[in-house]
Amino acid sequence: MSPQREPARALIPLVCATCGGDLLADPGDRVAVCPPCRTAYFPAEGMAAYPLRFIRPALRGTEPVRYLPFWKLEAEWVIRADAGRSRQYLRIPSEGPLYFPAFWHPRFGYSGDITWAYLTFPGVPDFEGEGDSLRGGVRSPQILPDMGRLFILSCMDRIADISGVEVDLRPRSLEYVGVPFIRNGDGWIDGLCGLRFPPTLMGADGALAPCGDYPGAGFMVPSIPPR
Amino acid sequence: MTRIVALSCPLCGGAVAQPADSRQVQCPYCRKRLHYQGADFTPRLFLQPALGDGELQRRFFEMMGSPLLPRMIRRRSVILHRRRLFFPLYVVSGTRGGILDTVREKIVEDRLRDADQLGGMRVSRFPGAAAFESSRIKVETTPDTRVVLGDFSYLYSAAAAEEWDLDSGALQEVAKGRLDEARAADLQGLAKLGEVLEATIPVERVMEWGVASGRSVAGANVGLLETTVRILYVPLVEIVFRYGDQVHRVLFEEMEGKPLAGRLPFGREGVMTMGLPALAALGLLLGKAARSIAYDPIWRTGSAKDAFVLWSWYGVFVIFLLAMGLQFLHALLFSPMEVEVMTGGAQRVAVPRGVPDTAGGALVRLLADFSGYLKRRNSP
Repeated sequence: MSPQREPARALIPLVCATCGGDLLADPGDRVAVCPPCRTAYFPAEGMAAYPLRFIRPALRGTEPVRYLPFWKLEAEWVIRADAGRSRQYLRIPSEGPLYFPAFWHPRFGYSGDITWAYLTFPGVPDFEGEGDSLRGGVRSPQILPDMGRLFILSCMDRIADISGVEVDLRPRSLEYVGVPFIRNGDGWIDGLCGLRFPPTLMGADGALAPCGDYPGAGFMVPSIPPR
Repeated sequence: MTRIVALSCPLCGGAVAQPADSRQVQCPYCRKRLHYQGADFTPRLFLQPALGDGELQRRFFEMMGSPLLPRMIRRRSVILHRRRLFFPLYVVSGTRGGILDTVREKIVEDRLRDADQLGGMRVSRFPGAAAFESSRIKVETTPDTRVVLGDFSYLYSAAAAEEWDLDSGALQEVAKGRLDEARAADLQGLAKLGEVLEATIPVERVMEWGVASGRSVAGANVGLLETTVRILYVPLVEIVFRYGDQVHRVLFEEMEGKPLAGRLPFGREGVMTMGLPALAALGLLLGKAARSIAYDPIWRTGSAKDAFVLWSWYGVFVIFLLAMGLQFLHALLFSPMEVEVMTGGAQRVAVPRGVPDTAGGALVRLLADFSGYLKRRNSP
């Protein structure tokens, strides 16, 4: 059987639109990055480009800091609820950065503590990075607004029942961000708040455990939002 | 049927091989990395067989040492052929989210005053009324909601496992925990290593019956935000051998060498051997009973007629036992019994085509069912 010819546009080169340099990505990644230009590309969306940033770690350990890919969705939202419940939800901010892992993890709950902690952290310090590439990104940015809305609802659900409550979330900007993690004993802690994560988050060499192979606990069960 | 696709590099025009395990490919001419945009692409991976021929043979003969099998099966069986199969599994990963309607349960203590039940009399003010109080625990449910947001990764059979007597759950257990060992599957290269079974179950059916089935729960509004599907080929070995005039088949997985499925001949001599002590015990009991009837004063009735009746009943009982034993022997010898190999090497006696419809046949059925509870394991 003779092979069928696909048009040339079936393949698009993984090169930076700005500098023409090769983009960096592991074979299974869906996000490719250009560290010199500080840009991340999502080829499945026609090479949509996003700024690439890194969070400056506030904590240090004895081993090098490792960065894991996250999407940072800067958004504002409006909670539509009756007056009584609206008062109960006052603790929840109405805008801010929502950080979601760009990698898949079957035990990842409501984004866990990092999303809430970074949302309420006074000024997450980011910088342009030190030439690091960021591997392991597989999540599509298209679903982030839905994830953001559900995350806000999950925070509200811990305070009061959310029956009949709606959240209208409006995205402002989207960035691809490297979140620092530091080895802590057998497990990991994030480099900003010191939140603990189990050893199965990634291997000793910093490689993310592949999706589907999680013998132990994954992301921690999210805690109650701080009062 | 997987179609062969020829791709051209957009930079140098060179022919590029079809991607295997991801949408990233590299042009062999200009060495640039490219992203494949084709809509019908499904990444394919496979698990490398880890057992050598010698180890597989050892596992096979170890399984043949089961006491349920004929004693001489190792010496007298002839392996007809052996072949490798690559069984496809879907690896469905993604994110789902939504709001689940649920209930909140609260345990409350309902304090009752039995005295108040007495014709409406208000007795609570009487001294000692507290002695009539009792409490009852009950569960109150109130409607509640829960937000669901999380990633998932599931394994599903992509081909009909029943056609191979396979338990699809067993295959998933084999593959689970080994995804990091999976390699890119070039179908043409894989076909040189063994027979690659086609993914005959449409992935849409898997998505509808498996991943998205949570939406069928009443009140659930949980949707799939994102999904990706990959195909993972798991290596199996099928060994077909002849014992006597029957051909038998067994399937092993090739990572740890565990048996997964198969049908083996049943060793009747084992049952016969076990029956000898039982027969001896029965004979001893019957002898003791006869001796008791003959010499024990409790049976002395003083009448010849009564003694005749007593011995007649004894004779009827012995003949009844003999008839049952012969029927059981007949059913044992003529029932088409075989040993079914289950996941992990457990074995049980199966009677696939029915036993003679006699009392002895019922005993044989009982034996087969009982062996299912014994579950001997042959694998290490």
